[in-house]
Amino acid sequence: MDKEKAENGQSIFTSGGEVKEVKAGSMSMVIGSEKLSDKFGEQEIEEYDYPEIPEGATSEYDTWLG
Amino acid sequence: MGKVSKSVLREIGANKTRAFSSFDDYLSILIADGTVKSTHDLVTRKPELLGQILFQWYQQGQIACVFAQVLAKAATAAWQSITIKGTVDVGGLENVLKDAAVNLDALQLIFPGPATAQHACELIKSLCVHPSWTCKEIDWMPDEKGRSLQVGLRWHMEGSDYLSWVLGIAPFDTMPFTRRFVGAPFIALVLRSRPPANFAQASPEDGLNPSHLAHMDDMLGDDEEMRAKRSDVTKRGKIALLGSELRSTARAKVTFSLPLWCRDVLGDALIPLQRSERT
Repeated sequence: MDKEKAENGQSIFTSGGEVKEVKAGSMSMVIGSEKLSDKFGEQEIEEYDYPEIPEGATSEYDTWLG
Repeated sequence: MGKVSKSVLREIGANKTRAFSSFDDYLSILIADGTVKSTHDLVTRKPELLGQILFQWYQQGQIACVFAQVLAKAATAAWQSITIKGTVDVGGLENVLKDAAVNLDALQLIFPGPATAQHACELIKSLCVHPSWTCKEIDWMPDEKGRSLQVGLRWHMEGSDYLSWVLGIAPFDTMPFTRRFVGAPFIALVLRSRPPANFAQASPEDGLNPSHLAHMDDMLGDDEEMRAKRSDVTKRGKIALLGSELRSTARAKVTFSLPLWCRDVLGDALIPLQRSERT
């Protein structure tokens, strides 16, 4: 990249998410992450039927952005 | 290929318990197949696996947010990981965040270490030496009051009209269940350094518009029905999974919920309530 690459307008990120290690001073950055689905199996998004929100469990302030 | 155990149990209703994986549950698979020998081996020799383990954890749903689950599974190139080793070089990180502001929807920064509340404080202090970073105390919601310290870490690109809310993931006990990755040997900071979207807008802070993770592209296009369904499940899931924990700790604007002694450790790095906006 490194810092120079970012400063020159070239992204350090790749569309393929390839793993690479770059240095910035005393810091080392490992960019990207190795795919692991072959080790853990495909994770299906479980459509869990959570209970309805009990009375008193929330309030007018209880919003995600609140 | 092994089946990941789920050793973290959460009671969510009468005779209803959900199970999620701890970090060690993932690690045991990697040890069994010879990928790594230990946590230390993983962190030092294969740090690129940490980001993917975190993506796997999101998919199980302990995070409660269905949108995050789906995006993590989609493995979109717009949401990437960086594992940071060694002393944080905030100037170097600044270039990365500016790059991400143009090229990514969200970025997760993974900091291996003891992953304690003390570690979180040291991380905050190391970042806040740079003027782009601030950390402020966040007040409780008006109908809640607990015995922890809510802090909001913010990143602001110089010259811009927005700031990024930072979401923290850590294993220590004062973190809300939905952000508590049990046994993780790291603290993760997840943020959208890109400008805010024109929906789900939050109230300005210090005259700056918050950019947060709900501004990520949910890949649903015009499918408002699915969006509403995911929002409903997210809300019900969050309430169920938090159980008796205070909702104030799990808001998007809160990065970490910390033990009260962290106020002294953070010192001048923390903008206390009387100087920050009442929230």
